[in-house]
Amino acid sequence: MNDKLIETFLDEAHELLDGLEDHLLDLEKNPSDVEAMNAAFRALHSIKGSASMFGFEAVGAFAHEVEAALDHFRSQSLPATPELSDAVLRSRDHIRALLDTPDSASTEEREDLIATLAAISGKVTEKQEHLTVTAPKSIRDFTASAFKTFRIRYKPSADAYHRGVKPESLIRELRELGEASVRCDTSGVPALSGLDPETCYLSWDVLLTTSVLKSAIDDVFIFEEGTSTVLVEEADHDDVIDGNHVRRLGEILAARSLPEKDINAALSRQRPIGEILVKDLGTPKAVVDDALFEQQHARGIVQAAREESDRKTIRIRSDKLDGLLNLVGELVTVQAQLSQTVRDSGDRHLHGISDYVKRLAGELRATSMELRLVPVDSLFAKFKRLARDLSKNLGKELELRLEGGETEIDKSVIDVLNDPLVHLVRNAADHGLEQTAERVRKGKPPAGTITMKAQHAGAFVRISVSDDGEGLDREKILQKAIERGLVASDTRLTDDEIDQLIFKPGFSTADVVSSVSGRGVGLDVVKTAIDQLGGILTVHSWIGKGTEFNLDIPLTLAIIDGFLVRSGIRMYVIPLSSVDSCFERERSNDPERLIVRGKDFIPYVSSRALFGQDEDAPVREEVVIVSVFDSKLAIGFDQVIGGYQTVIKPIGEIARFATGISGAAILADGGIALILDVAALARSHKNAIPTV
Amino acid sequence: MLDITVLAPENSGIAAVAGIKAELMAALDKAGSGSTILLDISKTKRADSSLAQLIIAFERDAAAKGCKSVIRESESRHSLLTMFCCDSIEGSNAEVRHER
Repeated sequence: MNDKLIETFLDEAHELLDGLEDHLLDLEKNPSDVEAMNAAFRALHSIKGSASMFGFEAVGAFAHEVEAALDHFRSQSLPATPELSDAVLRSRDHIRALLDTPDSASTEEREDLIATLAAISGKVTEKQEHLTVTAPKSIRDFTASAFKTFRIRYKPSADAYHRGVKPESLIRELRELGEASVRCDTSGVPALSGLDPETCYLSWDVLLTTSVLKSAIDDVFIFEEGTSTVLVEEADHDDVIDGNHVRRLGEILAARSLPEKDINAALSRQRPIGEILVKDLGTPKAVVDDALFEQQHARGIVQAAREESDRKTIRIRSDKLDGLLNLVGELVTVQAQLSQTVRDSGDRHLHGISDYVKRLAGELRATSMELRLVPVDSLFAKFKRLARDLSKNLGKELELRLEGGETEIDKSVIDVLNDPLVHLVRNAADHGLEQTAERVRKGKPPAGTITMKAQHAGAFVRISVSDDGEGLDREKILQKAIERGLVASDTRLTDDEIDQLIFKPGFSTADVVSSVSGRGVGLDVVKTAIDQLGGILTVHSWIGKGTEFNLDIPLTLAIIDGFLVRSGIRMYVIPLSSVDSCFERERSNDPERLIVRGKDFIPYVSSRALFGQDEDAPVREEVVIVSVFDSKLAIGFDQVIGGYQTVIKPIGEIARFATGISGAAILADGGIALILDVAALARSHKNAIPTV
Repeated sequence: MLDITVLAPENSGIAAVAGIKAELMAALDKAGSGSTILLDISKTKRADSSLAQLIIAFERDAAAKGCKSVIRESESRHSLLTMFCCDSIEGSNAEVRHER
């Protein structure tokens, strides 16, 4: 089997498993949610089908058992019991293990799960599906010869119920074969006094668009042969669908030989054409109803096909995207050198070409960056299960709220964020939230809330994890920090400084080491991971009200739009999105620590003071005001050069010792410019603002 | 005006339909024009098309007598459509209110 095909199968199977988990969690919240039940069933059905096709027989066989249990509940419209949801969730994990590490997946666990599922569902009759059914996925499919539409009329015999036939179950089986529209005719039902409960008075009309043969439809009614009326005929849909659009009712009826003069007369009366034809022009109601029924079915098919078409995507390995981005990075650097060379040459013709190349490189860069952006939702979705499991393990009622899932962030950043966020959510559940009884005693809602939120802020994305628990116990934190020698016993710290102690390596206030957290490994790992991303981790806490962790992560780790500035002979790049404003002024020999802009007091620092500079300072300086989240900083430079697109080159360990520098960029002339870590600079000067 | 409620049992399969029919007929006998008869199937866990056709007959009879029929359904199960396993119903023109 082709490795790429298997890789694609595995990718899709993982997506289906993620979806299955979501649907099961929805079912746990609302056991009667038919949509969630059907969606979970479909996911399992797809996994079963494709696993067998790709040689994952164990997965296919196991998924079949799980599907059978789920179908037992689904087919009888029974609500999902907690035991069912739990067993299917565990089964979902087992399927994942079978896919990822088949050798280590425990056979005992599989057998245990199969027995549990069988017990839950009362082990309904074994029914192996051999039929591969496909619903049309595109308009072309719909009209292609592989898909046909059948018109089916089923009128069970009067004694159908007496014979133990459940007509609606047969209709349900038909629905499994493709896209179906079903109409039930109750006109034969008598008055209540004359109704025999064991007599069936109903009939069904079904329009089914499917890839299966007519014989598969006949098979559904195999036990009805000779006793009930079953008519199956292929429907010619040409008069209903024209290319990509569903014809209007008048067009359908005209194609069915209804007099054109009647249709035109109906059209001129500004009422629904069907109503006029039936009420005013004597057209049989059944003729119009049949046309409307088929029109509705066709609309459903076309709509489904359009939605499918809108979702069309291709899969690309992320390392290929990395490679593309590296090439674009090189192109941006070379383009900058080309622009410089052309400017120096004074050649106007070359200047035009160079500008065009610059524009193309910019567009290519923007597009490449976009390709790597994925919604944070894909990361957040995994936490629903974690929250559910934590709630069970810790015996605490817990609600997880997810906000801003549509916020997009670089794929590589998403990959790194998973573990830190898991730590934070575990900590919030274990240490942050009180036990349910204690919450009730305090007058809080019994269920604690953990909120995960994502939002854009310039070149950063802020991801926050907050809880409505008891807040940080600063007394305990300080005591533990002193015990562990992290601070001297006589040290006086502000609340904020005490809060920061929780990020020290090995710090934990947990009295008991639990399976959830409290092993002394945690927040320092989170801080290190965020530092490595060039991000900032902060914590805010309110006693009795909760704690909030903010992870401010750079939107991209590769290319930025920068603002090139000079100080002496050194060049610096400021991320453009952080630049608030700039102005020029006469340089002072004894500069103030604060400048006033409007109503704001903004800390000021000269780049010469920040990074040192031996050359004489010019008489005038250009002040750039940078802004990150709620912090601002004014930095004085010798010269502002202007906008500059640049590729970030990491400077590794050097950055650890150079506060305020996050990377380097290669300039057009081959020189180096340092990229300023504006967030760190703004933070380190925040305390210059006097408190009022 | 009299308001009468008929509660369908949890298991409203075919064996239970005769009993529900008797209750509905008794309710229709008691009710006068303008009365409301509520058939509550919200607690019903098991039902099929035999109950659904009974409901259709009840709706028609109630309308003919000038009564208002209300079917209280469960949140997501056992609507007439699910019992019939269909998308639309032909031949039911009774004025009926379905509560969720």
